[in-house]
Amino acid sequence: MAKKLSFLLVFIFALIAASVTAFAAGTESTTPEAGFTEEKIQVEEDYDDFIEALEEKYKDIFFDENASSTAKIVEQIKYKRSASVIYSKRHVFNCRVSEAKYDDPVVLLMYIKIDGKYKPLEDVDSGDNYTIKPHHFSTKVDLEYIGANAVNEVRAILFRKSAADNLELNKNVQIVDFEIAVREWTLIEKANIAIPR
Amino acid sequence: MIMRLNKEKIKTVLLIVLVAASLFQIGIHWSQQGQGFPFRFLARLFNYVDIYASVDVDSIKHQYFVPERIIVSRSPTALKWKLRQGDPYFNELWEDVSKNYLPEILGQKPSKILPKEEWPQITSVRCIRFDLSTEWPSDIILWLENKNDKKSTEFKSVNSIAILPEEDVNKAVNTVYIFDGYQIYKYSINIKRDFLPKDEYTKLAEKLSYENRLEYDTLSEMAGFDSSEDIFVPVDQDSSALFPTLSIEIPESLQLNEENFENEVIAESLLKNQKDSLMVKYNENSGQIIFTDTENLYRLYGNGVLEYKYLPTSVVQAGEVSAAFSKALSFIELRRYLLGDVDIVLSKIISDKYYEFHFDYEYNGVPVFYTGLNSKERISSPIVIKATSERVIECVWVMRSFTESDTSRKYNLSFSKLLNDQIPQYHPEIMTTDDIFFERMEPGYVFGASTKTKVQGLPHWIISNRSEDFFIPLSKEG
Repeated sequence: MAKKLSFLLVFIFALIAASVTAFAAGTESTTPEAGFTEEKIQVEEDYDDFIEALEEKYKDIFFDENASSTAKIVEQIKYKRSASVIYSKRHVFNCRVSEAKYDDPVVLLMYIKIDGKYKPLEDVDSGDNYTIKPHHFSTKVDLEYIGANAVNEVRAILFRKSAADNLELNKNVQIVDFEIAVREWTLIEKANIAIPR
Repeated sequence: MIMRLNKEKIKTVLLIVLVAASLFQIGIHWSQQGQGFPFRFLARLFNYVDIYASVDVDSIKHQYFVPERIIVSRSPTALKWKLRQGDPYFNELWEDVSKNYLPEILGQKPSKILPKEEWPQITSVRCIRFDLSTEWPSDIILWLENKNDKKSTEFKSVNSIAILPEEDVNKAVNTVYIFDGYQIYKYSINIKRDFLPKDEYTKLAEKLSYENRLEYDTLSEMAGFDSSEDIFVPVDQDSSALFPTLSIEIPESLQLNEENFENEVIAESLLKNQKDSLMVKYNENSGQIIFTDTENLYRLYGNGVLEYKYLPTSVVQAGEVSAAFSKALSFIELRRYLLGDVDIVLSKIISDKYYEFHFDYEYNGVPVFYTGLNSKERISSPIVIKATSERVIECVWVMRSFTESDTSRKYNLSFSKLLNDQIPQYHPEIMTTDDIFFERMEPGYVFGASTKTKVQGLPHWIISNRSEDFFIPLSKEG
């Protein structure tokens, strides 16, 4: 009996050993997909002197409050107010050049009338009142006045860079004037302004 | 004595014959069903393998009911903020709306019903708007909230929910609007103890201001652009955000190789308790493995695409959408552990003789788009499940697991840079066509049904017009 039992045990053990299969660990070689090439760092050229010279040369066009032009570089310029409670006069202006020429970008100049005179309206990030782009413009500025009785008179001037030496009204320079009244956010909203976390 | 010895010998021989016969029987059994140590019954004894437990849909169903985005606005002439899943405000606010406000709404009649044309005006003032990625039928909402009374809802579905904290000056009441795509339903909800205080909604714009969050404009309201839906683009020149690099791969246990087949790894991963009842056929040349019985057919391809079909062709009745949705979720959840940390979001429901549920992937609130079997196909959903209230009848699922393969890096999100530099560099045709019309423009990841087991997922601008999808790599900063 003992022999049979021991035989059965040996046999069962052999059965168990036979049913275990080895697993070999494998590694997959990964082929990372190349995403894209690094873009070149673009150095912004300094156009300060260029713009200053233009403002001097064309001051009769740029700063004449009666100046207007039928020329169209962009169909429309739109603006929206920043929702930020910190910068209540901040606005973003945007426009799109319908006929983009990458070798001949468009120059956008922004001005605001302060005490009856046009002053540069500078982008809060770049510190410049000019943007030179081939296709799309977006500039974030702080207007001057707030209140129901104070209107911000903003002027946008657009022309192609190649035409800078020979700007003419109704031909190659566009002037867009805005009158923007900025009101305080409502009294209830002001009362709810929280101390920052 | 001699007779006794002979008897013992005969018994021994019989024993050996029986043992040999059982060995052969086991061998036949093994060769039909694959090899492997019989852990299954042991596992049940020791509660070792959770994956064999059935899915408790009730505990996970809310994970799917998440808005695509939250839009915070102050005025019709002002920019907006956009929050996505993963943002701390997003999670806090949505939990409040889904767990507190919705159950109250389901038990009330609306105080007013307004035409859909008023929705832009209503949501343009100081408002927190929760946009869902598709119209969620009210039946599913009731099921999610464990309510049965269908007459308690006036609206047929939920497309968007808006909270206007300043509409009612009473600090204990919040005004909620539900938009179902056809009409607008207004509710005044008493803020109870478990609710977030009303201040959390009233002061949200201020908090976002002080945190210097990116502001967004609606593309269709910008000069010179036309788009089909509300597409929000960041307006700051220095807009940027952190994105990780993803590793997108066919789950290891679903990769078609001899080892996974012989060790039943694929069967265990896909079939769970059904594994033992299905016949398996592996064709290495055709690059697919099939599991089937008289009712079910599972087919897994080498590119990680899983197809399921319920074989009986009897007439189907769609039944209740909530029950069909529950079946779809069960089907997904049994296999979800294979996918890693990715979220699965419902993107579309089509009703016909059955319900067709489309699901997309999303990683930390950033959409992961699927481009189809070849590069010429348009963006589509990687998971499509056809189901009735009785069962899932069909499924096509592009199985991928998602993990972060590299630390997050900062990428530029300036819309102006995209238009002036990146589109001209990669796809100038986007802006030179006569009909410039956008259906999609947002950052995301993209993958296709490649046979490569592992690919690197880098963030891209995903741009869609009426006829084509474009993918432009985001520009790294620093």
